[in-house]
Amino acid sequence: MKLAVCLSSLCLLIGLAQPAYGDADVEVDPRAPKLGVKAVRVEPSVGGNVSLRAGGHGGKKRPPFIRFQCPVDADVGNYGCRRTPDSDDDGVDLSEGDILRAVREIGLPRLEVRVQPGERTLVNVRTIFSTDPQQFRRSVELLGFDVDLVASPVSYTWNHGDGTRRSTNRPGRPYPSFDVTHRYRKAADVVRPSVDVTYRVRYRVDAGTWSTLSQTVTAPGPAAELEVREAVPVLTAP
Amino acid sequence: MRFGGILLAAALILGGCTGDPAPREPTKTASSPRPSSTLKPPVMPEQAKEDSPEGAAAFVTHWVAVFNYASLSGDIDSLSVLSASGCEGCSHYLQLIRSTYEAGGYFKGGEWKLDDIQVNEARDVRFVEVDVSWGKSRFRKSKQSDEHVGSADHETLTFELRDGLVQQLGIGSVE
Repeated sequence: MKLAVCLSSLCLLIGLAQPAYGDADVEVDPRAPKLGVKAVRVEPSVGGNVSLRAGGHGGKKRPPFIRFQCPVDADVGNYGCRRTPDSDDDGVDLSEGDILRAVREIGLPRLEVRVQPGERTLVNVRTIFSTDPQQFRRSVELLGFDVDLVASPVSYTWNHGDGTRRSTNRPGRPYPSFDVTHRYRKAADVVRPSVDVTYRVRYRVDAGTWSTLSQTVTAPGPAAELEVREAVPVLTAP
Repeated sequence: MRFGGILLAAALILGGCTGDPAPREPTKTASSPRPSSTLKPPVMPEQAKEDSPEGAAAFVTHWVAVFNYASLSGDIDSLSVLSASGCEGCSHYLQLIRSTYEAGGYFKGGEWKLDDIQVNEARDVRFVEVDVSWGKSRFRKSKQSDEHVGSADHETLTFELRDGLVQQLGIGSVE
């Protein structure tokens, strides 16, 4: 490699320090991996991380790999691989906690609350609440396993927006049903009712048998806006 | 992992980075560099077709042999067959070799040599981690450029294998 700029007395020294290969300049071969291949990181959709990094410093959670050392068998010229002792420490088992974390990361459906009679209601009148429940199905790859998830709503917590709440195991139905109702006691310019849905999650690993997570997962719903008015009876002549 | 289906997968990947799903045979175009008549593409060993850690190690060894052949001959057809279209590192090397030879350049020496091989196996992917070293080389980037000497060096490389193809190259170890 030639130096384009150098001080006069240093030029000779630097020139002497360069290895001589005839008239050819010494450069990094373009096929060298440092030029040809960039460091990459592979992150599974959920769960453990696999980092491919130069230098091998730091790093995240160890991947759930089984490791093999693969020397060549000199007799036959083929590879013969041996499982390394640290393979068992790599945590290929999938725990319920892993699945629960995955479900929380994915997020279960947050349901909107439907209020009737509409954007306004009256004090002491039964206001109807309902929502549209959804069953949630998703297949994910988790720590190298195929995991099927099914989450079904099992209870609903109705936040009326006036400081009271009520839990039911029904999603409510629109008028004329009165499955889930609430009577507001005070007038308010705006209250913000919402419904939190609690799901029971079933899962199976690699198309095996279905299991149920021991913990339920609650998805808080977005708040609606509702005006609560007070009606005043007025007698009028027929 | 389906190393058993490598030949079919290889045929499907012939489109290389073009994304062309139609299988087709390797062809030489008029602009393709003429392979060296003294070099022949390596034949894939039977073990490299196995769906096993040994098969993965043998496959990467074969990939490196084909890479060496391609870089010394300019014939990239076999290398493109073994490399998935989404493998950026593979695409880089295919482009480097193609453009070098098309411009009248060449590579001499500096073949990659493999030392320790470790296979890290998950359910549907294998990472093959290899220590690669290479000696001094001579190369010319184009017909007009000067000949350069490439320095010897070594590096740890990781190959990601899925469905019997190299999907990705990375520097460093699987942590």
